[in-house]
Amino acid sequence: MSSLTARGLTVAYGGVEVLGSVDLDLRPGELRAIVGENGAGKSSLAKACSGVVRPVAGVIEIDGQARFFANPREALDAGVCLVHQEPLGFDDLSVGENVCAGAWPRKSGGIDWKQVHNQAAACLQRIQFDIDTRRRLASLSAAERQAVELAHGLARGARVWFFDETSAALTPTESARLFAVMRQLAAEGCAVGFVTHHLQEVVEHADVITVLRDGKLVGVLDKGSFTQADLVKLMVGRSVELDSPSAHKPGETVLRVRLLCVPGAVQDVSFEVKAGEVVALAGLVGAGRTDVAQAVCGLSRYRGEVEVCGQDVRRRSAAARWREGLALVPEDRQHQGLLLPLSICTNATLASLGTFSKVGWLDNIGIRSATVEKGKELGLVYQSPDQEVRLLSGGNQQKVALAKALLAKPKLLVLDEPTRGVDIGAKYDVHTLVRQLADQGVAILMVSSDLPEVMALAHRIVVMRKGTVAAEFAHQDATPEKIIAAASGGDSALAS
Amino acid sequence: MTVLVVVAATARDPRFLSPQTLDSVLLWLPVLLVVALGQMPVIVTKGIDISVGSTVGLVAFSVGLIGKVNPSLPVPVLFASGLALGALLGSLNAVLVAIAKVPPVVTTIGTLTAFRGMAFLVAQGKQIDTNNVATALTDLGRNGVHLGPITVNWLLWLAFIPGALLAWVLARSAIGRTVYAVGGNPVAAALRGMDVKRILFSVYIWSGACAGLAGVLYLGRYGFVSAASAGVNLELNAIAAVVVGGVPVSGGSGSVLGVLAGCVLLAVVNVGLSVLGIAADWQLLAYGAVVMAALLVDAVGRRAKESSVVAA
Repeated sequence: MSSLTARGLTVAYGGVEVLGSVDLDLRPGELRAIVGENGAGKSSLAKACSGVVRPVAGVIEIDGQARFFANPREALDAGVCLVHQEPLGFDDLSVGENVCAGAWPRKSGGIDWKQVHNQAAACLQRIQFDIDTRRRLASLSAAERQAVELAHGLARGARVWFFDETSAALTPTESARLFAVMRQLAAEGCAVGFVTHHLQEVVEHADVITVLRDGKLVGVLDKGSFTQADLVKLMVGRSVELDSPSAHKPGETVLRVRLLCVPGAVQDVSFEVKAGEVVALAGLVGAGRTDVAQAVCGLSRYRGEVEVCGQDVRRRSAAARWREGLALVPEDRQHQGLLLPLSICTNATLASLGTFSKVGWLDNIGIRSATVEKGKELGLVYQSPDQEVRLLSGGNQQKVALAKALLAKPKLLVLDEPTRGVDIGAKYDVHTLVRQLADQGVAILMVSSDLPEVMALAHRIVVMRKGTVAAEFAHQDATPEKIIAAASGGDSALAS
Repeated sequence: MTVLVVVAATARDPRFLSPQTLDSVLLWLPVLLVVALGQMPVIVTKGIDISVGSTVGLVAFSVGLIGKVNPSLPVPVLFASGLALGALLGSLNAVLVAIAKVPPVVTTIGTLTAFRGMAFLVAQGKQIDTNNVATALTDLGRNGVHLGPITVNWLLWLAFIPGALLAWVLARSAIGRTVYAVGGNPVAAALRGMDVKRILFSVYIWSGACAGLAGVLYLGRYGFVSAASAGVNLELNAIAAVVVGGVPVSGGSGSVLGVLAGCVLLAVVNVGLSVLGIAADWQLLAYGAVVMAALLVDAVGRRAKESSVVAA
């Protein structure tokens, strides 16, 4: 019989708190679901309990004994195993080696290979998987790799299990099998917690549900004591912000996407964005929203049509699309949006160097004054335009990324998660800016997982699920409940 | 690929497939093979050791000097001092890469120059000549096991020792499997509690020790060492041999037999170009072209394999 008790767990990344004093009880024999919107802190909770991230505050007890995990190895040694969304592992090693990785049975003179394969086969058999332990990991299917990951936990003697959206990459049959394994682990006396987006799974499988919102614990529900609608309300349920989009005065169509397909991610997606209009792509992580944004910007191969200002841009490179008035603020500003070790000036004018060069020489005075001017407009807080971008806070970094896009004077602005990981003040500034731009006639396509943000900015909302358009709402018809229901494939009746 | 080159060369000139040619190939092989064997586990961990060419030069000269000063020293002692000196030089790379976390390329470009500089300091403008080197050592290249018309020289047999050792360690031992794990997925390796630092440390010391051994083999083969030229560009040949032998620069996989095949190809091409009477000015260009062709074949094959996996 094993249990895990966490009290007051707090996790912060770079000073931004993502989990604030959350309690969690995993009891033996019980399947516990951990649910919440994107960014509610579900994964952070699972990671903090399993040594992957270090909580800044809080206590974890295993079987009533207080433990502190400095790294995943210490958690594994204490019997806590986190099964990741994307299976880890070593493609070029055998299944047996992967199962026993990190604790290969030894004998004098090397590895005890017989023991490796016996142990691996035994662990796999315990979860009803019959895989040749001599095969290379690379030759396995996603579900089999997941099984190897589970068997690795078994080989390490794990008694407390976390599954972090493990079913996301599996087919319905495979995922049913995974839940059967979780049930079996629980029946053997293990404590099991799983993080998921899919409400159906929660209703079907969970005995107890922990609901998180904005990094806080908002409710613990017992099986059968709630409906899916209650769950959605609890997940979304912050006071509806009074903000609403600027007046909707759509102009000409700027972006037309017809039957867009990105292999493996997006299937037959069509929508339009007009001048002066903000269109949000809502949906769960992995629904294909970013893939649509990247295809529109020419960053990936696609089939179907993408028209900007009436012209098919299929043959234009990403750079050519920027020159023709399309600008992107990508979701990961640290890796995709900015050059962190370079100055604010350099970053802000990166996409518009053409306008700042005279016969091939850069006009540094012009660059500085344009940066300072844009910075003032965006409320950028900085010491000098030569300051390195990596020294700025998340919100100010995002403003530099926005400045880069705006200095290119876009007709169509594509924003991917424009306020992820920024503080409230910067978020407000970004929202104000988006409204102003729409008023000035810029067409804006926004990918956002933040429902209040979608409700506050978008004139129209395109909800994606599993690579297709699940629903489209005009602002006045949309409610957070309807959007969540469409995004997670829940019962559409609860939307009304 | 090797077979292809041999067939093409023999077709052009039947003399190519003569015992003399084979002997030259076998004599050309040991130094390159040992350096490549050292390089291989480093590349498997996504690293690179560019310093080995200079290590070979420095060790060859130093061991030559030791032998010159103490002519009575037995040959095994010369090998031991070469190994020890190589491992010491390798440990400098190991500390910089594994502990100070300097990128391997930067580290070993730095030590490439530094070790060559040390060789100049040791040499003080002098050279090691054949009459300075114990005949017991140079005989290792002249004599060997006679297999029919060809002679497998003792230097090559010595080179097989680290080859067999490495093959066993990589395929069977925990540290060897961890080398593949660290190269294949460093994040997963750390999450599963493997000691990544220790593995990196070990592979750079191994690379240095192998280069040290290669330095002594160099001394035995040529009996002549100039600090300015011994081992120059050897690191590039060794890296080429490893990559041609099927170890991806991105790490995580590869086999010792592949590295052996890569070295044989390079040796055959190198010797073959002279035997075929290709003008000296053209040899380097032709050699480069063959290496690039081998890499291209490998890359195309790899891509075909990958796309078939995706399709499955």
